[in-house]
Amino acid sequence: MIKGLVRNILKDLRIEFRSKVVISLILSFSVIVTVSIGFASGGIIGSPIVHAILLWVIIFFSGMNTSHIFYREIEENTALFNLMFYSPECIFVSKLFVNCIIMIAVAAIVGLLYLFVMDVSVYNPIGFATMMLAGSIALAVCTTIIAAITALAQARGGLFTILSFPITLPIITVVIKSTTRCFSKEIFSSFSAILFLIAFSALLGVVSYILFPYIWKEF
Amino acid sequence: MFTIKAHNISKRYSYRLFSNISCTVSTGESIAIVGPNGSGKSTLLKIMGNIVLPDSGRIEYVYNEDSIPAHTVINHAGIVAPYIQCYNHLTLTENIIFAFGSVTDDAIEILHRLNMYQHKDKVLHTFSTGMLQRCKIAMALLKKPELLLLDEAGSNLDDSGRKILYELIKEIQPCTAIILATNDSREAKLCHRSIVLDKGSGA
Repeated sequence: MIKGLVRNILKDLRIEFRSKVVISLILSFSVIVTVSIGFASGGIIGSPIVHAILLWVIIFFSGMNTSHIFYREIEENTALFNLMFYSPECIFVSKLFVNCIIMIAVAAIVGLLYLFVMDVSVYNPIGFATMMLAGSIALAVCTTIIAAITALAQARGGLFTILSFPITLPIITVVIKSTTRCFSKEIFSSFSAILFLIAFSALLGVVSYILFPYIWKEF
Repeated sequence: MFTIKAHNISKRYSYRLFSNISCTVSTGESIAIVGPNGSGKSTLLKIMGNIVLPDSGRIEYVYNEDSIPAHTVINHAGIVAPYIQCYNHLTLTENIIFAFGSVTDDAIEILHRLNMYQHKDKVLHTFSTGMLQRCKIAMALLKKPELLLLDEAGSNLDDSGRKILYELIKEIQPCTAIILATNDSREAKLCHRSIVLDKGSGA
């Protein structure tokens, strides 16, 4: 299992760095939108909640492109080739790991870029960093399982939207509320929000791990 | 020893593909699935490999006298088919390392036999379809499978490629159960038995 995980992770990262499909999509979307908002608003957005919403909307839509890592296996007919050597569980965990890596990188890049372009002050940097980490991992778990479910569907675009709405809604709501507090001078503890995100990610991850072998069949 | 026992397999999409097919294939045996286009050769092959589920009937998989769960069959199988591809953004060596961990002496030998050794460090998307087919054959055989599923394995191969493929099939036949779906009578003749599918009316 460990060998399979490492080989699948290295394979996915190598393919991504060669094809640059996901990286290009994420960077182009996140940079263009962040800089456009910065120029368009001219720095007049002052409300912490607006900043938190904009930041997480950009991270959410940038991160959704990681679903392509799953879709590529189906589009390029490599899913069965992978299954010939590794178990569905191994494939799922490796994709989850790769999505987490990309999502954390996206959150870091978008977060720093947003703070710089929009000139936002963070009053609780540790809480903010932890929130970005926990939020991006939770979104990565959601994206991975939804991409796995929709990869074999004909109308995957519509299905992805429908499935992602109820799953990502609690995550987005929690991270926006907590990020808003990080941007304001209010003293607070982000512990409960982080605990929720970790518990949500763990629960969804375990359920997905169990379900994935049933989803990933009939090519 | 690996055995597949299929009992009264039927499948239909919008039309009936085939019905009530029963057969048994064991290690050392080979079976060819032949029939016209659209008769369900590939579907039957996929069903035998538990890649697609039948509408009715059941398949039993026996490995060393023990029944094994259907979802584990892929662990014992090597597949060469149009719906399976190696990773196009990786080199042949990287594909082998991904699947097996290292390039073994067996891998070097089989690459030489398939005339692919000199291309081992090239990225697969630069390969012709014939070369890609040789890669698939190499990967499937390197797995040393108990069950070999070959769906139009000779397609896109030139004469020398087909000759090599036929030699390799003959060599592994004594220790492998082989199911081969083909339109090519030369390939079908390599097998001990045949299932002839008649379009829409079964075997």
